[in-house]
Formats: sequence, C-alpha cells, structure tokens
Amino acid sequence: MSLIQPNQYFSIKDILVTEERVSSEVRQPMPNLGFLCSSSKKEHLDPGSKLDIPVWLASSLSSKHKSIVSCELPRFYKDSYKEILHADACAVELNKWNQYFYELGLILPPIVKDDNQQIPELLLEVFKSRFRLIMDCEQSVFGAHSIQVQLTALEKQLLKQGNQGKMLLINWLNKGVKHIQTSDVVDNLRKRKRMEV
Amino acid sequence: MEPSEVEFLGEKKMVSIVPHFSSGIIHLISGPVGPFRANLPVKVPIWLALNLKQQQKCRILAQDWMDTENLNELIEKEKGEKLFTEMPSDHFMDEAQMLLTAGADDIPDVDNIRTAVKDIWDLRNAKLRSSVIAFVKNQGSTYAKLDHLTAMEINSIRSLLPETLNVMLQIEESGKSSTSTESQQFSSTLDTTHSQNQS
Repeated sequence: MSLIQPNQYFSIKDILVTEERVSSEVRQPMPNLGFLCSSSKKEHLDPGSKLDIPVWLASSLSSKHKSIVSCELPRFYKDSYKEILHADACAVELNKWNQYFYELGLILPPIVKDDNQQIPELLLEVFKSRFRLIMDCEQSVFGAHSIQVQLTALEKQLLKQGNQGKMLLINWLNKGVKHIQTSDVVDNLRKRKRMEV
Repeated sequence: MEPSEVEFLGEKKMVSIVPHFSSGIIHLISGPVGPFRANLPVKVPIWLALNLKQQQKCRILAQDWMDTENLNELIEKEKGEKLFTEMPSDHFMDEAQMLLTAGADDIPDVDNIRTAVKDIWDLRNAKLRSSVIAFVKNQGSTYAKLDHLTAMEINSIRSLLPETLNVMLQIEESGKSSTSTESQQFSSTLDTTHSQNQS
C-alpha cells in the first residue's frame, strides 16, 4: 500500500485527493477566464483576484518556473488547527476535515510555497498519536463504530487490514485446524514435465 | 501468513506418545521416527501424533511444560516482568491448541491447562499491544527487541504493524525529499530491506 502514486491518471484515490479546493491569488492576467471568478462580472481575470481552485488545477498553474497563481494552505493545515491537533489528535474527527488528510498533506508542499516545511512533521505526529485509535478499534472487532467513523480513508484501510488478520486469528482460536490453502505462487508454478525415458 | 500456516510450522515440534502398536523405524524426509514398541513412550512430530491419535493407535502425553503448577508460575513471572518472559516453546499457543484438542481424553487436567495457557496468551497479547503503541508513538528509538516473542504472536501483529511503519516512512520521506533526493533513495532501499525482515 502506498500513500500516493504520483502521475496515476486513472487512480480514483488520486482524483478524490486532488478534489480539495485551495484558495489562491492570481498573479498574471488570464484573458477570457473571468467566468471562473463568480463574484466578478469581468471578462478577464486580473492579477490579484482571489479564486478557489481544486488542487489538480493548482498544481499545474503554480509550477516552479512561472507561477500563474499562488496558493494558500487549506485551513486545516494552518496554525490554529495545528494547535488543536497538538493538543489531542485522537479527539478530532479528522475525516470531517478531509477524508484524505495525510495524502493531501503530502502533495501540497510543492504547490504551496509559504511555511510548508512543517506539514510532513505535523502529519507524522498526528498519525503516530492517532495510531492508538486504530489499535483500539482493531482490538474490539465487533463494535467501536463510534471510533471508526472518525478515521480517515488511510486509517480505515489500515484498520481493515488489521481486522482481517484479527478475524483469521479469532477463527483459528475458535475452530482450530483448517485446511491450508495452496499459495498463489505455488498454484501458478507449472508442474515439472516428466523426463522422457 | 495465516494462523493455520503458523500452526503448520508448529506441527514439526516433537511430542511424546505411547503407541498401541509395534513397528520398525519409519524413515521420513525430516528424519527417522521410531521404532515403535507397544506401551513404550516415543517422540514423534506433532502431525504424526495427531494422525496416529485419529486412528486410535496411540495415546498422547502432554508436553513437559503442560502442567498447571508450571503454567501458573509462568503466569506470575509474566505478570511481574515488564518485558516478555521466555516461553517453554516457540509455538506454545498452537501446540497447546492442537494437543489439548486432540488429546483431550489422554491429558489429565486439560481444562485447567487450557485456561492457564489462554491466560498467558491474553497477558502477553496485552503487553504486545501496549508495546506496539509505545513503539509507534516514540519512533525516535527506531528498533524494537522481539526477544521471547513466539511465532503466533509475531504473526498476530503482522497484518497491521508493517503497513503502519510503511506509511510513517513514506510521510517522513516526503518531508526529506523536498530538501534532497539522495536521502530519499537511500531510505527507500532501507524500506525494502526493512519489509523483507518483516515478512
């Protein structure tokens, strides 16, 4: 499992992650694109006007060489939210902020220029402290629904894997011996041909 | 790996049986077994013991450590220590599960032994859980000592822990990659060796 696979055009997850809107400021005039900014009735977009654009668009508009727009961090990576996370990350319903909190945080740094150095550190810290939630949830396989709804997509995926292992173990403890399945690798091996005599 | 596969590995352990028949040495890939003399105890692999028991050709003797006094001592020791204590066998849980189920009518005091083994298992599981959480939380110390952990226990955290560490590594890496790409390559090779160790 990997967090993000860059340049996966058809990855649904990638699409969902980059749906998030960031507020940005236009740096260069964009002719005939006035309709993007719903508040103004002008035909052209002037430098200085504010726009909410999705991340997938922002990433191509704010390349290193010539940035057409400059983007701000989404609010939940900003200092005020950071403090909430520092206080107790487990108490936060992170999935309400963003289902893909971690994934989004990882792709933002190249797009957003200012004070973004701390995002990975923040993500790591949040993930570490929220790992307890996953473990708690895994421990009580039946139930703990209230915790489960707070998890983000990544955490849910981890939990699902953990649960699978847990169920296997519980089944084994209850039922005991079961037939062992042939592993796929062995299944795919072709049988050796008998030597011609 | 599934628990039943760990159990399969555990079946290679030896156990004493009292056969009801006589036979010469049986030569197997894993080594010779026998000779069998009726009513004289002999050591055989667990899988063979289970098979003979099913055919009612033997009586299974409990492993040396399977007695309530010994197990209760182990429980006390396990409770007293912060770290894991040494278990009598690498596969104590699966051995107990197999032998106590198959040989329920041969081994005296089966129920108490089973409860004691389950107690140890629960104790150690709780310990394992809290140490995994602690390990993830302060990952500044980047290694964990797995002394005296048995195969089934290691397998029980395999579904969650390696992936978690993987995610943490990826987040950490992305933090570094903005400063230098070289270190990223280095840590990704580290990652592969790490996951090999895990599996």
